[in-house]
Amino acid sequence: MKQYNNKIYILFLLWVMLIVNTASLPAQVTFKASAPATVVEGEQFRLSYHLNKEGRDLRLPDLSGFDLLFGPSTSTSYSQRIINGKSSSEISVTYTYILMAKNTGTHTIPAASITVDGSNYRSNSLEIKVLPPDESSAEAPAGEGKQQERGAIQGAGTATVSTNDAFIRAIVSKNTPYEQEGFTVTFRLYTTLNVVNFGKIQFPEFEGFMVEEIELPANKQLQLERYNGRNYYTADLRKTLLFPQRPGRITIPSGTLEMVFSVPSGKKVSSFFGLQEVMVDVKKALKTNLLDIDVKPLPSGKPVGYANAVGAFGINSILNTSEIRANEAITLQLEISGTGNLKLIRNPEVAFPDNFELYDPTVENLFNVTTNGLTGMRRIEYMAIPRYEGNYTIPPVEFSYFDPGSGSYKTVTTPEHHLVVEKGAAGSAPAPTYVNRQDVKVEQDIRFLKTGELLFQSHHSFFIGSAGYWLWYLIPLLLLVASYLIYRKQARENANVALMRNRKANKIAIRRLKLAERYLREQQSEHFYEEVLRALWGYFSDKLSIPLARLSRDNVEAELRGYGIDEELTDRFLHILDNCEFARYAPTGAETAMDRLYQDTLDAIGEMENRLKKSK
Amino acid sequence: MRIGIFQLLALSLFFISSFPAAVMAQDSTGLTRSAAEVAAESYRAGDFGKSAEQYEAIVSEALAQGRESAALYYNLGNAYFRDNQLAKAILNYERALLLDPGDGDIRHNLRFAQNRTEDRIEQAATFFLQNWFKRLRDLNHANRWAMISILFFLLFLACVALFLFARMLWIRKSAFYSGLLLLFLVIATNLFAFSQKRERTYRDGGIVMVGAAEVKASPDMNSNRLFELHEGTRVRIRNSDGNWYEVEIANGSVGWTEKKNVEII
Repeated sequence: MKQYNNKIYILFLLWVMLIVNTASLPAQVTFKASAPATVVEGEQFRLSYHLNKEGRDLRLPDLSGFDLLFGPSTSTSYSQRIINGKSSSEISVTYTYILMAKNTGTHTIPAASITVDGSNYRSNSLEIKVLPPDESSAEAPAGEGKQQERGAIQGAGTATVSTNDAFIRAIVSKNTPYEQEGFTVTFRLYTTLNVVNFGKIQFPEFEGFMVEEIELPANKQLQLERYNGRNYYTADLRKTLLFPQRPGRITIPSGTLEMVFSVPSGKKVSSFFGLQEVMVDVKKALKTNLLDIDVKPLPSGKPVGYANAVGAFGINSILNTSEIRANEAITLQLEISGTGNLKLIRNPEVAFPDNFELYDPTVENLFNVTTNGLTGMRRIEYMAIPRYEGNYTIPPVEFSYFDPGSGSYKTVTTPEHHLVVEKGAAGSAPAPTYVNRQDVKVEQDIRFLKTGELLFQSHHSFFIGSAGYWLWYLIPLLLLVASYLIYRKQARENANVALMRNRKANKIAIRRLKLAERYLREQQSEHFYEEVLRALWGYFSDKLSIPLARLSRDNVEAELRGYGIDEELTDRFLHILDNCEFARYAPTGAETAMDRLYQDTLDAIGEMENRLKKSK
Repeated sequence: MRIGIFQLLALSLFFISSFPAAVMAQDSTGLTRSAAEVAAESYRAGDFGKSAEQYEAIVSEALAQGRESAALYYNLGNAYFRDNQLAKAILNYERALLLDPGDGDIRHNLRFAQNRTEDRIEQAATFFLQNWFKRLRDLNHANRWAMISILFFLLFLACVALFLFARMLWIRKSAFYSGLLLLFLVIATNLFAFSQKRERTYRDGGIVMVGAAEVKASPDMNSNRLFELHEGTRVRIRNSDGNWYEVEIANGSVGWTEKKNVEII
């Protein structure tokens, strides 16, 4: 009893200190109710209220559907901390009730109320799911009995874990997703036994999928869940988000887990606390079930701007400036936000004007892994440097995605941006090197229509080979031939005129020398020379119109010259005259000389005739 | 003599000046012109299907009058190309090229359209002289070659005349050699012209008009399937039998296909 008094005393001292310390700090009052989310009908569970102040007059709500078995039991804890000379203290009061659910279903425990320092505080309300009791629980004692018998026969260490007591399910959120549509696979452990330890865990490979792990809380809370008529404690071991990468049936193989369970061995040992069952650790390998996923292909008719995106998205773009100088960089930010396969989206192409120098876009992924897919935003930054001044338009970017909800393609677009580029600062332009020379692109399209008048040609009628065509050859050819013939004829006629003249002149000479020729034939040289002389003198007299008596060797030369006969011909005549005079008085009788003289005379007269004709 | 040459020159000049009227049966009625304008307007507005229909109407109207136009076929081909009807586009480009083989625009568009066809056929090797001949020949169409050849012939005659009538030796010499060259050119251009004419008269080119045309070993549905041709591929028609054509493709392969698969250029 004395000890008790001492305790009270100490507590009092502490209480005084608490008052002193906390008087200035109006602490926030929290009043919280807590209970398991799922309970089994007919089983006991705790309902606790936590208060961080001393309170009184706790009023429980209407607990219809539950039997209040015991309570409240109050426990108080007090703690004080001094950190860096500052002290803080906490008090926590817990009121605990033991309840039992009467019937299955979801029950609500409304808020309870409590009075602290004269004011009323209300707790949160709770929803409790009440599961029906295990169907097998009625047989449990019999089963246990059997096990006990077996245990008695086979001894300890042979206790087993049946597949109904512990197993792993792979749960898919969607069995027939579209290609690239995200869905979750959860590996959930179901057990009615105590898990002692995890052994080797081997999860299956997800071939054909892009995998994103979903973070699970580090300390796994066991939850009651009803499955196949039994209540199990469940825990999610792994949760992944999968994006199928190809259409068709994809099978996810099974994985294995080794677990150690604590199983009653069937032996009972009497101890200090009474008769107790001996628990044995049993190792068991659990296999997950195979999963068949039917991946639907994306429907045909993909739009032009389709960027491999499946989900629900929005797009926005921001141009950092609307006015800039040439050779300075601009950035265009493209933000694709929404839920879906954000990671696998292709960067949309931005049709910057041709003379912009482009750099590889930088991509920033800001998303969370959720059970619906990746939610968040993908930010793509395009950097470009306009090289020349001018007014440019950056056309809207079209972003098309497949919406699995409606099963159709949707297109969203960004606004159009206008950019005014002014002339860059002098000297900022890069020195033109061969590297910067631009290749003119090869034409990548058909050429435009032929405009203007249409020229028609008649079908199947050809100029080539037609009569007109051949006439074009024939007529000029005939013309040429005809003109050549005319030319030839005229030339011949001209030639004839000269011949005629010659013949005429010769005729005169021959007539004059007719007698001389006869004497030549008769070889009467004296007469021949006489006759040649007479003929010549006669000819001169006729031609020069001078009486024969007045002509002589002396004056004939001057007369002939006066008549227009040149020296050479005159000399020829004089030579003939001299020869004749000489031969008359000193006849040689040489036939050849006579012959030659005759011919010379003939030629000379002919020549003279020709000359006279020409000069006329 | 001089008068003769002058007369010849004057006559030649007269002939030359009267060339276009004599050779080309050119005609452009106001009606056709405006219809073509309407079709071009549809093309500009981006309604290629309608434009193709309108051009097609002009073509059939002109054909009824026995006339054709390279530019018209070219424009029709463009409309079909834009309307994604590749085979019809190629067919019309080929027809345009047949009428005007020297036109660069037609050649370019045809080549561009042919790049879109599915069949990639290795060109069978041909003798290089044959290629040269074809290339030279295809610089102009038959009537233009005919005109050029006449021009060369007249020049040749002028050289002959110079050779015959000139007195100066160097003139006669150069006239002789240029005459020889011109005579060669006259023969060559005539060859080109007649080759072109034959090309247009015996139209043996065809275009595969269906998506996929089976080519069989004989003109019979049950015979062996040799290979398959796709839309827009050019074939040469060698023979016909009932509903079948015997076709040869650029790599030299020969087979029979149904007439409905192929349209003659």
